[in-house]
Amino acid sequence: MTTIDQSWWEEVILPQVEKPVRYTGNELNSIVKPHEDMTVRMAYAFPDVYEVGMSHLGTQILYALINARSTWCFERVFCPWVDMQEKMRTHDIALHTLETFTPVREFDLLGFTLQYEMSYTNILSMLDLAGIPLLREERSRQENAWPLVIGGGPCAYNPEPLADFFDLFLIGDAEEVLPALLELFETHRVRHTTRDAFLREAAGLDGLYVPEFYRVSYGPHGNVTRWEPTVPQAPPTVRKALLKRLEDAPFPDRPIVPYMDVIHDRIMLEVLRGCTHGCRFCQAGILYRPVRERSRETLLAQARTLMDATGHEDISLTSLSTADHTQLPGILDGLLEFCPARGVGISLPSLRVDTFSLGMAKKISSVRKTGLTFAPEAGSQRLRDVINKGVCEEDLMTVAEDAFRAGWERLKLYFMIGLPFEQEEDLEDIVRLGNKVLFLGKNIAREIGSKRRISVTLSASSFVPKPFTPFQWCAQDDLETLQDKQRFLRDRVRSRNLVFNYHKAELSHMEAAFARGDRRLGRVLLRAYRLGCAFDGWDERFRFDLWRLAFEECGLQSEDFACRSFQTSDRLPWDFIDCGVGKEWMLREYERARHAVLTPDCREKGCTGCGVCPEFDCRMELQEGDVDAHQNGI
Amino acid sequence: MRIRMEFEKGVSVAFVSHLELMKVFAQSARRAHLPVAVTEGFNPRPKLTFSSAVATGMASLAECADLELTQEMEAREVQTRLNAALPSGFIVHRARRLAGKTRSLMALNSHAAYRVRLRFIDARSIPDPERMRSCVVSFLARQDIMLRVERKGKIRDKDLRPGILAMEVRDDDQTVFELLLKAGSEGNVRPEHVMQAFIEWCGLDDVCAMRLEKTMTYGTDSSDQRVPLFEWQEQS
Repeated sequence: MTTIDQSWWEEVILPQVEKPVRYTGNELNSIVKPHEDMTVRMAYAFPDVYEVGMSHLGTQILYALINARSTWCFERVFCPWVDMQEKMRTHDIALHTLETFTPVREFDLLGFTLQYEMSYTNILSMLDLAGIPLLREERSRQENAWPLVIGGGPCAYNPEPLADFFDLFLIGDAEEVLPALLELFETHRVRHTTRDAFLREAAGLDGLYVPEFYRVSYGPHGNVTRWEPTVPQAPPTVRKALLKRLEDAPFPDRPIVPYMDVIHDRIMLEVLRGCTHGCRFCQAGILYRPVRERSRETLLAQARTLMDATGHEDISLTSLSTADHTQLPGILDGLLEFCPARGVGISLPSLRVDTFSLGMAKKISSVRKTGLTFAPEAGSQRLRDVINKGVCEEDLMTVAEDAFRAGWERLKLYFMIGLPFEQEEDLEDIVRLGNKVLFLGKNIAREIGSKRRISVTLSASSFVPKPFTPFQWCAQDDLETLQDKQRFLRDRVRSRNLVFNYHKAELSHMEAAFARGDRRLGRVLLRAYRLGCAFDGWDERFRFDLWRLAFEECGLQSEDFACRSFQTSDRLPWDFIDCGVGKEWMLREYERARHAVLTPDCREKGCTGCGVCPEFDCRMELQEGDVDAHQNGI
Repeated sequence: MRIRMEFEKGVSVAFVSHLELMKVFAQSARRAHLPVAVTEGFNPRPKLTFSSAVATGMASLAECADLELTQEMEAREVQTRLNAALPSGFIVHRARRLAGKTRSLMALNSHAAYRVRLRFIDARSIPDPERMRSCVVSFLARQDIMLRVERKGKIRDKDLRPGILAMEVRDDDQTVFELLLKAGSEGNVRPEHVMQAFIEWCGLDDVCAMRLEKTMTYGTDSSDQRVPLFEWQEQS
């Protein structure tokens, strides 16, 4: 592959592609280091386009974390859009990083972040464009010829469908284990050892999984019948890496400021990690346990630092459930002391119905009232209790009333269809709830004399039963059923200004196949890629027909993975990972779901025995709060 | 008070669009803790105006922008602080305080100078300097130079010739041209259109791309003299 002539690239290639600024780098706070002085060079690959990857907080966290070492460099590469891919293939241009234009295959490590199953074909595209052999086995035959291909992020909790392509997976928080891995790499490099020796030692670290050191066999209905380490250094169970305290953890104090309008063009302040609500469908709520909060003082100091370093107009308090933070009222008050004066707005990504307060919302909303979003997730109380969401209709109506009276015109309600134990009445309830909120809004608008148009959007996604949740044994509804349910809702949403949003059920179906899949999907993924699948998460690019063909050609069906249910006695493809939360607890939660019994929040009502704290010998990291104020809804 | 600035958008950031460039200045002013005035209403925007929108892909050595501040400040200090905050590739070269009411930069912008380099697929097909110069002479001698443009669904023919004030081949490199074109709200002529027409006129089939750079933004003073827009003064 040819090295790139900069001026030819700028004059001939860039003007021919959409959004050339995706490929030009040179952003404020980007870090360029001379390769000759580096002991470890790592390329970070986000398997989607620039603007998606640069909205991701993890990108900024890792960038700052690894570049903090003076002799390590960490450079970014995003998936080129289809038009650029075509140019690269035509002109034989190898995939290269933004910072130094170095071909990705010249790096020591190539790390992919696994955020979404439908980005997997992009991983293969990027390896291919880089000139790196896709199969790990092929790469391993040539000592020191290729970068080590590693993967981390939430999908690493079921890495099996990707086992053919990756050398190593990082499971859990990266802040400690990634530098540990790179240090290990450095020592091995200095001693000129082999790839095998390095991987064997890496396998011994918490949070690191080396797929080639395990032999797996599957039974007739997808259960794991054999799981064997093939080398003594590979542990039978891989424990996730846990960063026990967030308060002192590194944070990106000089995040890169993209030129492009990325999806979230704002400062992202990570206020806490983890969640204690225990919603039964939510994988993130389990994986990121225990809850770890940053203190108000630390967050306010970080906010100031980040404002000085970026100049962004908005600051977002990011986490799974920001409204739960023990010190939230104090954090908001603190931010309000200096943010408005500097022209910076404050936003919360989403709000919980039961902890929402108008006072809080008023504080943070800028003069423009953009829509408010809530996630009841299910239409009926019974089904909400099944999923342990616990929100009651009365709360929702109170919150809606407050919001409408305060002048909000647009409300968005998130729901899921295809939940376990769902019945037709539950779907009817979604529409009933939507209508109830809409009419409430219209009445209030009339009452306060507002001429504005009130609208309510119902957004229904198709439920995917994820690993490490109480529903991990459940099958996803089959495709036809999901489509029927979507049609059912569509037919019943008839009021003006009640909008119904949903995504293609086929996409959720494929997502489920991979989320609940195993090593047998490696061949299917490769075939789908070769058939032309790419950017599957993008509506206009998703080729369900090609995916079907890929499955067929491998002698498999997507239903075998998405729609299979497991016995509770089965060994699951992801059971070799210890996320801290016990299987028995998840089974117990599943039974409670069956009877629509709620499990209280362990933050407020005491330990529910999930197991993560004793397993890691730690506790929730909660800050000292203004608990009373919080409960009063200030 | 208002500060008028002349700034550079460098080659390393040529592909930043105009809207993105506006954001760069707004964010940099914020980082520099400059007391920027904002517009009234629901969506407060910084009071920052530009003489023109530099095309995406084009670098510019001399663009003009006006920045309104809520407090009195020395132009030099604004320049220093802004330069310290701007990302690399953007440099404010000159800054001065504006006195009293002035017309908008966009209204004052009358002309622009450009440097264009043609890229040939094969170096052997580059015409010699004499040929290139005589091509330019005959090109400029034309009565009209028509360009087919489509705007709002309608196809119109536009005559580029009146908008071309000067066009020269560089002495040291016959693939590089210096253009002086009309700019602004009336009669704006784009350098890439002029070059496209020239390439066709001269039969330069081997040209595969061009590099465009704006070298100066001009206004016209009361005695009809062209002057760098930054230096334009309201005559009393």
